[in-house]
Amino acid sequence: MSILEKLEILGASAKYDTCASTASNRTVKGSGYIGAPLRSGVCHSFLPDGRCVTLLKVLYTNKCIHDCKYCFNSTSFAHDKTSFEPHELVKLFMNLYLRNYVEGLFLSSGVCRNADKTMEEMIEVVQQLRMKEHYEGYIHLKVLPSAPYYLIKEGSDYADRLSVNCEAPNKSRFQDLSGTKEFKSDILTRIAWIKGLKKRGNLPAGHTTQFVVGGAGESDRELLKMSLWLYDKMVLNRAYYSAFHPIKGTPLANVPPTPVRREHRLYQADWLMRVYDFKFSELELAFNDNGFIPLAKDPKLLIAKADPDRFPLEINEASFEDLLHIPGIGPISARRIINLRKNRVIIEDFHQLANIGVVLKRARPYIVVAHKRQTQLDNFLEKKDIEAVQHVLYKWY
Amino acid sequence: MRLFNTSCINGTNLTKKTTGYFIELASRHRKSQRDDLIPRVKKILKENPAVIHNKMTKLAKQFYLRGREVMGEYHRLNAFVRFEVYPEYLLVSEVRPDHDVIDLIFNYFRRRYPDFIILFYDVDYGNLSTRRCEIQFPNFKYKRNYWYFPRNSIPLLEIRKNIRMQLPDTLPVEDFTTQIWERYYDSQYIKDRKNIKLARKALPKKMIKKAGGGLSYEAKRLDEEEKERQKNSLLDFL
Repeated sequence: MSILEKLEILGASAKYDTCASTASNRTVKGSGYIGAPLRSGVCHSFLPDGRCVTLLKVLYTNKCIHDCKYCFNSTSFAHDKTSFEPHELVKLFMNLYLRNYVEGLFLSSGVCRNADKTMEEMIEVVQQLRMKEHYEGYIHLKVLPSAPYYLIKEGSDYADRLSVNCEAPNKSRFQDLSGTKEFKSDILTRIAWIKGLKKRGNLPAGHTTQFVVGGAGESDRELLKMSLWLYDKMVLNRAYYSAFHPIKGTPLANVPPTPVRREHRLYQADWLMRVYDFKFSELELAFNDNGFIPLAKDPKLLIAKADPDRFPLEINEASFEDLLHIPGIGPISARRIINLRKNRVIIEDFHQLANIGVVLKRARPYIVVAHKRQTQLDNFLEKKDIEAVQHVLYKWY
Repeated sequence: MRLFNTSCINGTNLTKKTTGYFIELASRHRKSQRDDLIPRVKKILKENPAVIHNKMTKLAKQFYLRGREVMGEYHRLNAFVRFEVYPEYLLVSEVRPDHDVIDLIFNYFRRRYPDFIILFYDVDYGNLSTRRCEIQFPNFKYKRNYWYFPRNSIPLLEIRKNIRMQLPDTLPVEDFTTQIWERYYDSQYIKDRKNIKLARKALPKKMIKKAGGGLSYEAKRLDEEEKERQKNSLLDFL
């Protein structure tokens, strides 16, 4: 099989893996190297599905001993099986990197024969890149389930970021997806090891994980609870959510696909936990009875609507935390409002807020600007309620 | 010259410390050569800096947007430029920036490829820069951190000859066809998630033109997908 065919197959096998960020704090050495990581990500291209192409995202091999029901590399699904040789992948990657097509390498793999052997070969690739080609750019290395500690440690010496895929939020959901992997020993133990390696100063870009959303029928509450636990206890940098998509020939081929909007809502809620410092009890307000965030609603707006006692807030007096709870105000605009207050500048009208970056369309019902407030009934009511009120008013007059 | 911290782009860092960056960025904007926005901003900065730092007024917002536009062009060109590699450690590409950002892009690529010589062609000029101090280009004019020359005055072959005379070794260049990229690009596309509107937003036609042909395959694929969508929607309607 030619290297182009291998690239096509192993690239397509890795397309469902998510890895948006390429930011790394690692400092580069003097001359005599190629590549340098950046503190912010760079997207080198965009696909017709709107996703960016940042890294050369490939599997080392698509031969796999596991039987994950959602995955088209699993044993139960017949397809072209192939694998790269380390020097082939190194050559291919350097060719693309030198021409500025990609920002780094994302290397994952199926488990061929056993995890030790495959992981060793993956590490050989990154080792060749660092030692032989003097490549100093970004590398994201996937840790295979049940990979031994010494290999993970070796991987952390070369890679900027390691990640282990959780796939499901808990043990029972995980068993629904895979019968050959064990949630606690194969996944969580590896994440705990990576946490230890990160604390030692390895892994400048930290570690991440990924969930398959909708594959095992899990709720948003379960997923976000697990993510919160990982952020708090495992010092995880980021959790990625990938909407489940059924693939012909796999055991879950008949399960309906997860709407992409659900993935979007999960990211919004995840952002609220990580960046906006919302407590999980506050997030609970956004879930419906089954533990899902309604697809049509922004979770922050839902939380604000469910907590009317908190609002309206006077923009010139509210604390930073309170400002972050207002829909349409993010950390950047909240910081600007606080900075202005520190400099004794009073915000007097809505236009000034718009200049600062506040999305007035969403923020207006929840704020008071210099004792002025704009209220609209439909900001607090559903469409059908408004129609009911209008009907009553029509009858009266 | 310092390498710009791209986190400036989101505006979080428009503070006392980074307003200097923004002034430099905004003054590189093509409109800033013609109007008096920068002197006006500098005047307000002396009187009430908080208004500018937190972009409270229309003028502050305009200033901020100009800086951001320049930063955006710099950031996108860093990503979308594609190089041809020559054995003389020479990387060649074509860029057509709207604003004065060539030296910034050079800083970025000199850090990324420290042993290479980078040559950008724009509409009128050839611009060349490297970290390798041993190489000189006596016939070229020098500006900030790079040499420049009228585009058609010196052919590429002559530049390569000049470098070869000064550099002892050459780079073994691997065979590369754009087919590698095209196959990889197609392999990553998930058809069920097709979202041309989002893709067009991220990869506007204007930027494809600025990148000087580096994004030609992406442009072709986006056009194909867009035509297919239009055809399907028409069929649905009928």
